[in-house]
Amino acid sequence: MPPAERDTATRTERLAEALERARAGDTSGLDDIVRELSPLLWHVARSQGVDRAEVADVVQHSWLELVSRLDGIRSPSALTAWLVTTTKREAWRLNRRRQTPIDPTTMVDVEADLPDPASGLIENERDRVLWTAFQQLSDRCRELLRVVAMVERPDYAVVSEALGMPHGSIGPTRGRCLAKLRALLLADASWQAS
Amino acid sequence: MSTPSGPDGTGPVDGTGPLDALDALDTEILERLDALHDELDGPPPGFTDLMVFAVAAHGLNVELARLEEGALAARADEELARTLTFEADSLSVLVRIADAGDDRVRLDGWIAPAQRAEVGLRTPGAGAEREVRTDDDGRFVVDGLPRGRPVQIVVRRGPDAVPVVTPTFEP
Repeated sequence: MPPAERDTATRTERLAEALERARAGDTSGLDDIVRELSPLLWHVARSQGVDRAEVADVVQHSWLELVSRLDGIRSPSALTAWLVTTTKREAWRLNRRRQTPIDPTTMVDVEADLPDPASGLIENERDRVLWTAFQQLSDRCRELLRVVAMVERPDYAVVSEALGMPHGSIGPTRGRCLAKLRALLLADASWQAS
Repeated sequence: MSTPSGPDGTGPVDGTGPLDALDALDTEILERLDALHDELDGPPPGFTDLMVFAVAAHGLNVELARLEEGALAARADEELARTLTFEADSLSVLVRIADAGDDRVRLDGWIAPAQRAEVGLRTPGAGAEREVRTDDDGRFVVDGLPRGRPVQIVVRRGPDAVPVVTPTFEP
């Protein structure tokens, strides 16, 4: 079995086993789920424009809400999808709240944008070309691909749907956003050369 | 948008269409995007531990109080008091955080509806939680908290009421 598939099986199995323990009331099962999926939820919140300083708030809400919903969640895919949806909703809620005037004494500095590929932070040439092409995609496509890239292949479709993307926007097939990015790369001489 | 389809009707023939099966280049793109996002904008050290802390030790029956006003993160140059409001369905928790000098803060809290309750302050890595009680007006005070060290408030109103927890915040 290729490495990607082996990892997939392992992670899905780990989650399935942890979910079973958590649903049986074993809090260590819940801890393991939180360890496994918190980095993914970080990226979900960031892809929705949540400030780095506030991601912990958003993601904690998802986890605390999960605690009372565990009974209805029966598979690792359903778990991942539920968490992605909930985190996205929490991010919206925070963004809405942020649109109202805020108390200047509690204001947190808005963080700088992600690095410019020319800034030298990206050393690998292929990565630099990819990053430049990725920035040309629509917000929706960047959101989708950022999150999909964090999950294993069997979850691509369910995560796309959880993000509110059309059914099958990425899954066993490529989907519009990935096709666009791929076309940009294939048209780029420095990608071909690197 | 119409693109010519392959003979099996599953996708365009040019190899870049949306409906083709994922291939090695797609896999490479997704792997690089995963690594790049982690490198350039990944979670800070301690993020996952903080999340584990936030859900741990509550059992499976808690009510979540959402932050409604204020910021969870402390500002580096904080001199003015800051106020946070958390709302759960059955309870509101309001805290005012004021500088107490020496990198310490004083936390003045109120719960509403006003009632006597036990208020626990949990800090990651600190072992036992610190406990105070509210008075008849729902007020509580915690003095000498280390500034910037994350805490989470748990309000327990007796055996028949579900505990209310706030997200962790930096006093």
